Amino acid sequence: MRLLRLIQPVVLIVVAVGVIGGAVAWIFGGANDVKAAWDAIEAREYDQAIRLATRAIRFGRLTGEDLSSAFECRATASMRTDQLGHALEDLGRIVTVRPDYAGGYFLRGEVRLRQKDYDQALSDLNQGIKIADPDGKSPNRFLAKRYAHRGVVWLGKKDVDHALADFNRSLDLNPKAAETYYFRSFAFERQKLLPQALADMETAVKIYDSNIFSLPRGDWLYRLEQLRQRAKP
Amino acid sequence: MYEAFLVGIVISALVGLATGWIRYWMGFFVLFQGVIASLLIAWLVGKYLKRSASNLNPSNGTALLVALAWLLSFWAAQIYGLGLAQPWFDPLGYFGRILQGDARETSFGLAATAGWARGFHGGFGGVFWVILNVIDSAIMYLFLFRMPWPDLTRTPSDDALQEAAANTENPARGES
Repeated sequence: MRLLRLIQPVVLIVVAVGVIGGAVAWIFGGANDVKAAWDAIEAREYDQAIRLATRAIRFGRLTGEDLSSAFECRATASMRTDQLGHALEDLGRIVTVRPDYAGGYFLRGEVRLRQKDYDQALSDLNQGIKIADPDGKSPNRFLAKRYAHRGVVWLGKKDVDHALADFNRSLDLNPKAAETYYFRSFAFERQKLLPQALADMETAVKIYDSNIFSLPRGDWLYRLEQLRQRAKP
Repeated sequence: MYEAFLVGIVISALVGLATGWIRYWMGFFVLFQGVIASLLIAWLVGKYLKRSASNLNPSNGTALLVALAWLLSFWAAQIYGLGLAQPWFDPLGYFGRILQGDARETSFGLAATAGWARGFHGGFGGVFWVILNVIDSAIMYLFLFRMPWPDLTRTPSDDALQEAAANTENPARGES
């Protein structure tokens, strides 16, 4: 009888926790929240994206790919709002949850590049490229941006040859990437190849201006003018 | 009165903490949040005061000030509670961005226009968000100000006597 009295509240608590947990899981559908969070990223509502992704992570009972997607969404929102420390935390979790997912390494490499932590950035980008393009022959255009990032890391480490190799590979994958031409012009400039640097800068500005939605980039035009002056015989 | 004031501050803070936490996850339930929170605070304070032996009969001025202090306590705790729900504590930044119109808060409620009641929901920010919050807080303030303070001059024995008198009076009335 005494045992029954002891068990009774425990059973009641377990049932109550189950009912409340079930209700919370029913109200906050994890997969729906992740989808809504990505929609919020598209709409540039980053606070909403962080809120919805966090709700999915805490209450959505997500695992594997879905959980990784929620972390990636939150990390993306943090990156767009310049909260790089928070983004790094989440990207670290993605790498832990899905160690074979190249996207986690790419994004973490990008964040570390923005923090000018070149060694760690290089390590992450190498790992990502090793997973996504193991033989270096993938035709995937989305990899162009990643090779360009690694090229910038090499530039930061003052290794121009490796940087040029990565920029070339990036332009092979996507020959219309204005930013890659812009970055490669710095590599040529370091090698004192001013005509090539000028040619890349002109191509970058031309491609950039062909997009009617792009805002004027004063820094690019200024650099182009500087290179023109220096390239004059 | 001082004890009642402090108890109210603590209860408002606890209710505010819970409200802020829920508000981050679910959104802002305009008017209902203020009504439910103020009724809960008033009920809990009343429950506590019924046990107290002190005699309370605040003037309108005192009740207004007490309600204001409780409201402020509720708001401070609500902001803190919202921050606790966030992945990284930044409630002022969150509200600041909504205030500036750079972010929006999910809000929902009921509105009555020209005799038609309809539900609304969506993301609000900027001036409109401020107006919704002011309306909600005004209702809450009114409820807190008008809360029925327990009449402690009456004792349980008074109530029992009155009840007994009522029971004995009714049959007599029926006979006459």
